[in-house]
Amino acid sequence: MATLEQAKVAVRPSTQKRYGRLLVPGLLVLPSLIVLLVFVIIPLVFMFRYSFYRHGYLVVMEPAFTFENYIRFFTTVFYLEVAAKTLGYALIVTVASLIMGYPVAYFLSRSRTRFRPLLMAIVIVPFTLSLVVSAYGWLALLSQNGIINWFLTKIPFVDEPIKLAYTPRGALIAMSVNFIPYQVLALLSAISNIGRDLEEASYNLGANRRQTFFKVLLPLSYPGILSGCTLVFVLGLTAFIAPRLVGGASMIMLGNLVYDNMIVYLNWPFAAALGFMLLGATMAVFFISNRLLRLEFIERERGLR
Amino acid sequence: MQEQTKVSDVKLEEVKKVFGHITAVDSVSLHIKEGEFVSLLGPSGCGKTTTLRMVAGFVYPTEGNVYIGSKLVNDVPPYKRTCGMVFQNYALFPHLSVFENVAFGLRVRGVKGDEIRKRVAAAIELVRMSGYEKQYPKQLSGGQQQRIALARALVIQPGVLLLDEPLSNLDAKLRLQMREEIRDLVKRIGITTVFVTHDQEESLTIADRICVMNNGKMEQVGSATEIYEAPQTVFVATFVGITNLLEGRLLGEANGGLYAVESKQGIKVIARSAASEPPKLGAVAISIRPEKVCIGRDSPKDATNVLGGRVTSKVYLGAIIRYRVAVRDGLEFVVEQQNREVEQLGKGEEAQIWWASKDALVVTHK
Repeated sequence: MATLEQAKVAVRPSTQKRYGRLLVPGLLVLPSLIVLLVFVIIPLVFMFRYSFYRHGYLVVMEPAFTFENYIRFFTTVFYLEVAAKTLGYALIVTVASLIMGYPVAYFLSRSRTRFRPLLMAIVIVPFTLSLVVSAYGWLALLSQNGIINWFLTKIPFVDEPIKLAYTPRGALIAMSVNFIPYQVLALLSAISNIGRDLEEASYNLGANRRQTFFKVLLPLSYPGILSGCTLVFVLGLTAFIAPRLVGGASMIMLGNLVYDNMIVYLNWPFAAALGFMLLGATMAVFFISNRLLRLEFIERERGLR
Repeated sequence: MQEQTKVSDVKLEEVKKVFGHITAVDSVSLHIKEGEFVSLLGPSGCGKTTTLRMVAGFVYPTEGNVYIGSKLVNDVPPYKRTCGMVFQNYALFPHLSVFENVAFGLRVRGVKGDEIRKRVAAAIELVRMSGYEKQYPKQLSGGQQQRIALARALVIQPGVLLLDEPLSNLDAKLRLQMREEIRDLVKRIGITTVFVTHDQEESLTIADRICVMNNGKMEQVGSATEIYEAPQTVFVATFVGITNLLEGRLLGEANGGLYAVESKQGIKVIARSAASEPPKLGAVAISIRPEKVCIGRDSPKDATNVLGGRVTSKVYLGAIIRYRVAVRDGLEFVVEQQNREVEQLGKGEEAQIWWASKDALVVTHK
């Protein structure tokens, strides 16, 4: 009898606990789930439907079920070129921001300076800046008599200012620099997790700075590199303000096509189709990076079975 | 291309390291001979690790010179020194297998193929870890990681082996076993070894010579026997083992290298000094090890340095019995008696304690 009593007593709190385990987190995520559903998921469903509508003469769109928007994209050389350039630009800004961000992240994670909070603030400030404001700022920096050209003309081989404002070059510089904070924040935690003693062990075993970087630091900061690059690559793919304002008329990325079809040509079905292609691309990037990261974790945790 | 690095000696000359306004190491001079096993012993923050890191090259001395072999290495970066180091938490590369961890130092030196396989296998064999080559550091226990760290440091055939508190992360039983193992291995190879520890027992049992450090300064260097039996400073006497310390002042030299000291409580003691230079008149202290003090109801007629007191506590420790005896003016002596002695005293009993003058040591405040 006694054991039965005890069993009842033992069961009750555990079932309660199980409900509680689901209930509390469920309630906590509910508000954001509702917001997400109403303002993101449902509009996306509508947009997906619109991508099969038809753009008519004198009408923005009329209900239909046609693949012509997608077919138009894949059969027009111009659009495919834009897609290829978009990928290329995104890749360039990803690599450039990684190269510029890594030393910053390394310094911030290793230095014991008391100015660290200030330096962190400097890294984060660009996030608070409107993209449009930053674009006009970049135009000032990149102009013929701007500060960047002033520096460039000091280099012996550069005789006259290089045209940077309103060129893809300039936009790529602006985007690369704008994306550094994302790389820094992603790398910061990864590098902080690499013990200083691992670097010292590497030096101790005879590896110089270059060898230590490539054989110890770089492989161990791989998760941070992967997440930072994923983020920046996706931001690069979907960029449209910097290409338009800094890059000038000759720089067209997928984001600009979407914008133009939406606002200028009022071809909403095609804009929706383009938008979904872009969304598909970014989802693919996230998917691949997730797989790579998971592989990395499996590799690392191999021993913990 | 088996490059056999010669075992080197290590010489520190008036080495000083200042971080900001903290002097971590202050004029340390030490010559570690080829093949010698020296331990740097001291409490945390005494500068022992900084000293080791100056030999490894991770810290450059503010003043003074560091020599490895006959070469002045003050400005030589760590990757150009021939020191193998075992870190406190081993610092094995988590992304590399055991084999690749050990091979690391060879690969960066451009050793190739068969040569690598042969030397890595030999090093892993040396630490009795054959069969674990494909495992990753996380899969290994603390003791196994320790061995791999040792193999990784030794495979590059360094002239000096540096061990930074290598046993502190192991459990007590394993610590004893690894202590023996490290000592055997190091002696078999005959490599010069510097071992940093805060554990005096570890230091006394493992090293040929012990360098006791405190507040960045070297207190005393000597064999385990010298450090324990003949401490020269108050710090060494109290840090290594337990001792009875009587603060007082030196009155003058008695006959035969013995000195007369009067304690604060007014006890006159004849003691010897272990220092090379005779102690100066003035404030000194007397150190008498508990096991050197005899205890009984009555002292023998020929006994010297006899004090009367009362037993305030008695602890039975099996092989020995530890008494606390209140002598006078708050002065308390710890006395250890071998279990085989007949006469045991009880708590509260009147007792007499005495010791031989050669067992009382004049120690100075450094």
